[in-house]
Amino acid sequence: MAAGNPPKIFDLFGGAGDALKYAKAGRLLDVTPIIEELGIADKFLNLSQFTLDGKVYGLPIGGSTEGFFYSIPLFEQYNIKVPTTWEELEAAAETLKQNGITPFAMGSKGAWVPLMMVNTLIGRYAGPEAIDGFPAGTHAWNSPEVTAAFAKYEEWVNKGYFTKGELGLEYADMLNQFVTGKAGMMFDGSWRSSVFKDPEQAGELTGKVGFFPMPPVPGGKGDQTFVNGNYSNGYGFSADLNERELAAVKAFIKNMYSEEMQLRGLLEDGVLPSMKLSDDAIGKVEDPLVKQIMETMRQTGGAFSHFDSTVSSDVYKESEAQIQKLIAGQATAAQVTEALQKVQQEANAKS
Amino acid sequence: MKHPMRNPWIYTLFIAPTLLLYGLFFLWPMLSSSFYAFTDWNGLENYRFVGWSNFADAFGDPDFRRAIINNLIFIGFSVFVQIPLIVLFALLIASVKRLRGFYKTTVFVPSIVSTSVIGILWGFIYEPEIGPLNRLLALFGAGPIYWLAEPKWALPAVLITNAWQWMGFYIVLVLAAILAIPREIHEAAVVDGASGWQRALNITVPLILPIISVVVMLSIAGGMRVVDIVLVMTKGGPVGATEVMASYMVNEAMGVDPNYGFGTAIALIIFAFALVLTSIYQFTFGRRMQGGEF
Repeated sequence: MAAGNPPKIFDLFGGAGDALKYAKAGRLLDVTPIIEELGIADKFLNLSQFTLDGKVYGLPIGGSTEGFFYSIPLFEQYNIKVPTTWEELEAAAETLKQNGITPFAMGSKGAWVPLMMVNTLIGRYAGPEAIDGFPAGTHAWNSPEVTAAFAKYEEWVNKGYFTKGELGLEYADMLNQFVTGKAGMMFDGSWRSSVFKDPEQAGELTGKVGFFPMPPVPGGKGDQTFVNGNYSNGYGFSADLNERELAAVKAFIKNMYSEEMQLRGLLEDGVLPSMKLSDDAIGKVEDPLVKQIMETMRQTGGAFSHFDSTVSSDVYKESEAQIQKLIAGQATAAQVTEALQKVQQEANAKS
Repeated sequence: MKHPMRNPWIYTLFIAPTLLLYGLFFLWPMLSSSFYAFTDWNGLENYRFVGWSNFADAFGDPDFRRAIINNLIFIGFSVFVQIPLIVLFALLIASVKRLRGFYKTTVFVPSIVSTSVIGILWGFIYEPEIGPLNRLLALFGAGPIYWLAEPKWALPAVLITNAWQWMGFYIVLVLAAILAIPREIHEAAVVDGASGWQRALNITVPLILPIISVVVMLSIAGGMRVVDIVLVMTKGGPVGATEVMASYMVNEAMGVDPNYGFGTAIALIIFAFALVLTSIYQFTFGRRMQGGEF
């Protein structure tokens, strides 16, 4: 990409840090005429992370949502019911902690992992509009609501609700913590659901995992039934194509973005569809975990993105540094949000 | 016929290919990339010339200053902790009669294994719950230490792993120097009644000072360059506790928000530091150590 020579077809993440940045630099093919010609332009659920100035530069292959996976055996053992209110969630965490089980598995060596929960906390405390509001300048990181979201995360860190030694653990270690029964819950993306069908990866927890979205926060702003919805992983195409390559790209789009492939992704990988599917296609889903996830998506009032696709790269990088400082106890929630707002303001001034 | 090497043109012809390769693969990339250190190029869009601001930003960032200090700690550890141990081990190995080859090989092997492999293996040793190190500590009643997750233990952990990997290399160098000392000197000292320790301190060590000087210089340069062990074991974490200048550069220039101009500026800073440190060493202790009382 830096050499001006991207591959013809490649996996691409949407958002300001990836697709939109490459689109601005003129590296990506504008696919708007192709999807209109194929008649699939309005079948996509959300193209915002690939759209710049009204033109579409990539196509999401699937969607995901982020929420809590929980261990059915552990919940049964300690008589915990699936939390639907905030008090129930905190009570569940406390019960697990009292019984020597880590409430939330966590591996924060890669800072993007804790930022998943932080993102949904922001959506709850400050409202779904905050996620898009940061780069737009309408919402500030150091507003009391966003600071409250970080403060709640800080409170859980101080109560010992996360895996001890998390800063040395990777994303895969977090899964191991959950699967080996050391933790009762794990906040992760819906893409993880396919792991829990596979005995080699999920071990004793195979088929015994459930999903629930983050409950409404008392006093939270905005619609508390919204969930995180990301339609940001997909395919992009080089802007530099000759006739035959363009024809190949059109054929690729036609075959890849079809109901059949979307359904396959859903049934085999647990990847939520990025296009509208007919009802009987959806009816073919049998895995109870995927059904739970799709039911969550159906019941929400709407979805908010992850801020890693709305803010620019330097703000995102700062958020990675700051969340690790928060976890290590080297910064308070207030200091974190002040630092983030400072970088955000510099970024907004530049664009 | 005039001797060919006296003819300046023939001389030039012979060394021209090497100079060409040197210029093409070393000088030209260094000079042209040094230019980018004064821009804000992010690899994609057009860059703007920003003068010294990249350098000012680097020194203004507390995380970078932390990285400089960590590099100095690496160098300090290499010179003041590792080198005495290296000399001690080399003396011990030199004094064994049998199996010297076996000892030489065993200490040397870690330095030829890939650093990434060593980083991962030691990651398992440092594993807080099931790793052998914590299990050993548990025998003595000490609680589990989260080696790579706690800011205060991560750097010592990385230093120990790095020492384990590289000490063998230097031990073999120093051993060669020790074995090169003529036996007559030691035999004369034994006749005069000197004990093993006295011989080691007053004869062996002074005579191997030149090689120790080389080892110090290599350690300084190595301490400036250390990056792969840090990236594999901790990625510079937790929260910058093990960040060194080169890992800071990797994260800045090639991480989430690539900024090649800034990364190049940091590379130049590393180069300047290494140059200054080795020059200072050469002109002070180096001269004395290599001066030679032979």
